[in-house]
Amino acid sequence: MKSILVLVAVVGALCVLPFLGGNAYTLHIYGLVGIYAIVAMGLNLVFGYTGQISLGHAAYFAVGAYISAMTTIDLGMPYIIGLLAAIVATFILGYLVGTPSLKLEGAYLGMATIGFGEIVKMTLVNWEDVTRGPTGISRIPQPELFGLDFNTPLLRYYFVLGVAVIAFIVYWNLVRSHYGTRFVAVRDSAKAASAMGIDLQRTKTLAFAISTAFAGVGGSLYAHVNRYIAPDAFGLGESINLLVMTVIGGMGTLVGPIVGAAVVVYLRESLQVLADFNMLIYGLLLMLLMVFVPRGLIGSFKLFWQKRWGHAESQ
Amino acid sequence: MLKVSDLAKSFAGVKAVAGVSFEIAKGEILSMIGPNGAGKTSAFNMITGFYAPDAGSIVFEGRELNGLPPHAIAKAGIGRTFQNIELFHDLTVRENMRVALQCNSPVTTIGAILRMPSTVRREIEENRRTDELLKMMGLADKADYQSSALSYGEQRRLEMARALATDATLLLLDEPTAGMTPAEVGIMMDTIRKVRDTGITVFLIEHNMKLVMSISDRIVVMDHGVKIAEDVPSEIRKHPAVLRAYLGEEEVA
Repeated sequence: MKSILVLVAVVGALCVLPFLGGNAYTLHIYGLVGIYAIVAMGLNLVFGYTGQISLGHAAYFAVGAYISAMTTIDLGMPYIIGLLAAIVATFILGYLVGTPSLKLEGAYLGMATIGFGEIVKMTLVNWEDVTRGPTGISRIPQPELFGLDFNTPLLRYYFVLGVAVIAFIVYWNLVRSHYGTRFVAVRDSAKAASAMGIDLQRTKTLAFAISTAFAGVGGSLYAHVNRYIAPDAFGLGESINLLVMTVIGGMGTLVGPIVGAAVVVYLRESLQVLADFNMLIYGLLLMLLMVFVPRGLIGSFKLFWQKRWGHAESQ
Repeated sequence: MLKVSDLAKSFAGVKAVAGVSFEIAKGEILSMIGPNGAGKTSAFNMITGFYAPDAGSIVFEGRELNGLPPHAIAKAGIGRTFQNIELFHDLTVRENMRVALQCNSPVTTIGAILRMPSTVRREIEENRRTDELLKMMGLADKADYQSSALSYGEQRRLEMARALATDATLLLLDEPTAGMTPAEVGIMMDTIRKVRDTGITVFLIEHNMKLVMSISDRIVVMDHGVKIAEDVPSEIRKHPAVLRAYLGEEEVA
């Protein structure tokens, strides 16, 4: 009950956030945070909780974006159909790719996921008849729901916020259900997990497919809020960025990915002023964060809190 | 309840288990003893699906288990513990129990995502069952501890509680008293009896002879991958082949 009140309070605060001196640009940035938070939450399910690395999540982000954009433009469907198509397509794709890939572990799984990510990117670049090739898709319609057009930056912000809150509730319910403990069990001891009746392969694949569906939701929002997508934005660099968000926030912590998404988006935007030096400083900051907060912002905070206030015996 | 026939397994040409047969009757405590390398843990791992047998059959309550993966065998009703404790150390005691309780949970992914009333009801039921099992294992006040914070003996008992939470009717314990102090061994002995008294069949591998002799209904003795004896404790104590395996040729002669 307490946690529901906290959730309501946080959502309330995010609703008034635009009125604390926001302009179209800051609203766009807040929207991006929401979009990346959704993707990072999904990635946290498979990477943080289940312990299976994915270096190819930008591919599912891309598939969600393209499917959604093409469903609305080429098929002339309403936005909600584009969003649903993105979710279904990325879930099925995640399931199909995850089934063979998740037989691998560690670095090998990393390589396999990079491989698939590159396949998707090359397909987007070269299958010009469908994807419009390297130039990408522009003039993607704004999100609309049942006749309501989200045609101002403020409305788009609220739209992203709404979807992000729904995504968070789904993610939170999963984590606190026995699926969440099952994911951690697979990560902690595969041997004991299978002796508890857990089908390792099925559990990992489920976590992976749910996680790719989250990337699909993020992709759909990205396409329709940004209104322009191109293959360039969905490479290995982006996959790593998504992973960085999860790690910086705190792998396997509930709100870690949200904090991580906010930090990464904020850093990337505010460092733009440094022009040529921006990636240099960004990289340096990431290194410092990893050295001084190795468990991520939320993970390290939790540890500190437990040491300071918690029972000594429970740590 | 469990019938093992002509079970065999080789590793790189070495016969770890070379055609072993035995049966476990419902409600008994059966111990398997033998020198290190006799093939006891290999036999355990085959029964629980962690190793695929080269030959033989394992029939549990009329169902052939040979060829099934570990999770299917757990679902069939065989719970196990490990020689080197395998807890989920990032989880609390209660969460460890929860992983086991999901074994036969009817909650679906959709049910979990929407957090339907049936999901919440199941969680309440799981908590009740957890409290009951932890109480039986003497861990009632430790439910919210990180499992890695438990003492060694407590960790062993949590592993047992967890195995029972899968609704196992046959419990396999791999050296449950390894590395324990005499006081902890005493507690473990009582715990095993308590488990049996709830109607659960127990099959254990054990090196502590005092425990084996006082707790077992029957004992199977293994040496070099074959069964050399099977009898009640009082007979095993004076069985010539057993004495030979444990004490060496000369002492007996």
